[in-house]
Amino acid sequence: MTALRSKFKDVMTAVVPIIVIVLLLHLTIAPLGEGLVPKFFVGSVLVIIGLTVFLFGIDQSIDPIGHGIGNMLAQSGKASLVLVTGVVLGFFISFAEPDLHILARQVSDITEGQFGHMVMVIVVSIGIGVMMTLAMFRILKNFPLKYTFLLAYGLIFILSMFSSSDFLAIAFDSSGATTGALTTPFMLALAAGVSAMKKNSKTSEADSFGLVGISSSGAIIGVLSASIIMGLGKLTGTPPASELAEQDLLGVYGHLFPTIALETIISLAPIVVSYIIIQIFFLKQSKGAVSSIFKGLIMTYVGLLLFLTGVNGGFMEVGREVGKILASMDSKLPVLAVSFILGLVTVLAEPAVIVLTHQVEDITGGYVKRPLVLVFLFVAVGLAIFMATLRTLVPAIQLWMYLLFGFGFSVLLAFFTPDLFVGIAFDAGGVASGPMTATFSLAFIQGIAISTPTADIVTDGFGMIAIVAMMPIIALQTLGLIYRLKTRKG
Amino acid sequence: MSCDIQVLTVVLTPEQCQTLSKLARKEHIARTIIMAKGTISNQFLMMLGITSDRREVVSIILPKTEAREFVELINEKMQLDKPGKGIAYLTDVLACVGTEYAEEKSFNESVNLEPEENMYKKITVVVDRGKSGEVMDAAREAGARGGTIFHGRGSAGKDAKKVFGIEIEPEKEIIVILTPNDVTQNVFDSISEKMNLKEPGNGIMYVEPISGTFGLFENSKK
Repeated sequence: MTALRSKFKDVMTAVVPIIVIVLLLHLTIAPLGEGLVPKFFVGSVLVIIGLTVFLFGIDQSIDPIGHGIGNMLAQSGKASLVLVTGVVLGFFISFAEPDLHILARQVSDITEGQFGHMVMVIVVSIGIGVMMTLAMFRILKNFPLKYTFLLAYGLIFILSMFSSSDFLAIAFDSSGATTGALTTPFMLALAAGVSAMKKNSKTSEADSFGLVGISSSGAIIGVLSASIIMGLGKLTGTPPASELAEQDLLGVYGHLFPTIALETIISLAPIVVSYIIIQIFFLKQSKGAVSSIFKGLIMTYVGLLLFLTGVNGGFMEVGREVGKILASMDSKLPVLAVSFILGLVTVLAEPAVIVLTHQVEDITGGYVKRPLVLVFLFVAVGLAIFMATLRTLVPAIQLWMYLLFGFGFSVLLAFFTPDLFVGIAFDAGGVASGPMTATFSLAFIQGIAISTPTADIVTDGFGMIAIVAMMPIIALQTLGLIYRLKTRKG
Repeated sequence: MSCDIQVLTVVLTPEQCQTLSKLARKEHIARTIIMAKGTISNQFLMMLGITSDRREVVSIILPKTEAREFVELINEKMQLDKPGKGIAYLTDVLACVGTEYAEEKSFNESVNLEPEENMYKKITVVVDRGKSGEVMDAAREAGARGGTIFHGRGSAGKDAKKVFGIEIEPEKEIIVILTPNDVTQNVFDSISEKMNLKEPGNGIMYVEPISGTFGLFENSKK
């Protein structure tokens, strides 16, 4: 029973803080409207159950599948196989990610079709496919991780000089959006599988991370390249209307459930299909193993479905309300303070964050402690949401300032931090911006933007995910530096 | 067969392992920890296809009397005598190097076993991560054939490094080598010398008796 209990404990420590803070705000400075509180409660219960089931499912299915494919690729030793699998798998995983479609739809709506939905999804997916392949080659060919990031972000920097600042925001946001709750565990396991074949245990450990980080930079490169090729400049547009605000509890969940059920099946499909192909032709695992994996896949599906329904139904609107109420106050202190605290607690409930932190502990044999990674992550995301709020409130602060200094500093830090932490840090960047941030925190920032006359919902709405994806990179590399200093002998 | 040193092995859940680490730190006892999986006997979880759960295996080297005291302390604090709380066992060590209780002995001092069952010894070496290659090289030079490498972490007991109150246990590699009696001493000396184990901080090594082996083919190479 301890297995069940420890997962449940993980989930409770992730979700309960958010509930407590929202309730505290509700009872004190930001009373929520009628009907919102029960919606939020139903959402929370769904999130808790969904996340627990999902995490079990991942252990049972996505993890062994990714590992199996990674092992197979590394053992085959064929560059062509790695190339084909990387591009195809990367493309389809990204193409199937619901978060990306949501973002692309928003972009398409706001730009009135100037940057179409399908164009964006395809461009991002190609970027991911190409970069994921390069990342796997990097592992096999022993090309250092820090130079890979230097090259990737160097290219992004050059591309961004030719792009408009609106596209910069969309590009960085899309990189956060593609690394979702399903793709992250899969990519982590894939990287671990490929690098496990290495002879030197120390490099094999460090190489287990970084795949997510490099792949997600592909999304940025894809969008920026497309904007330059298509010659798109400044975007103009109108904010999309909120669909859910007026519905009652049953209406909201009844409306969401079928959509999410379908989206989740689609996003699970590439992983399942590639597993079936590889199982039949290469792995040939026993019946028991296959049945365990399929049970796991079903759990993953059910868990993710419940989780996403809960988050979208209960959290998004609450986030927007709280943001609106707080930002309309005379003093700006409460909104800044709350944004920091909300950032802290939402990251804990990101499914991919829980998976990543466990993976880190597993691969390093417990050397890199999970609580430490979590502490650094949550301070980082707290600061990120704080910075996003500040940018919304103060018109003089531009997104590119954050991104230029932030990513410049990140790449610089990579030269002083142990390789292991460079990989973990860049992966964590992609991971921190999952479904929880994309709904709750994004809605919170939009709420602030609505109440702030100087803010623009379009420019301020986009770009927030980029900040959330950036801060963990700095924070975890700092943790790496501390580790290096503390464990130095002598 | 008098032997003054023992290995205490404890299998625990990760949470209990932290409690144990706290106890060990208080007593300044060094430990090596390997992450592992344990079985699950819950019907409901089995039905879902969940058959294993995380465990940590802790090894501690102590003089016999202290080992007994410590295991009783653990037993009392962590209620090992109740089911599902973890297990612990003690094994005798024939020789060890690299710990403060280090003592070297001749291995041929017979242990209470029939001679044909007592052809092999188990050598366990704990070194910093990435050094297992060097250890295996030293062992092969002295006549060992192969080894098994585990990935774990360890703490020296004294002056633990802490980051925000959370102790960092450096990564270790644990190498287990089974050797025939006639080369055990050579392998032991070779590793001890090459890895400089007599100096503190370079790793530890200990030898345990083994009764019966299968799957070892010492002559196939010769």
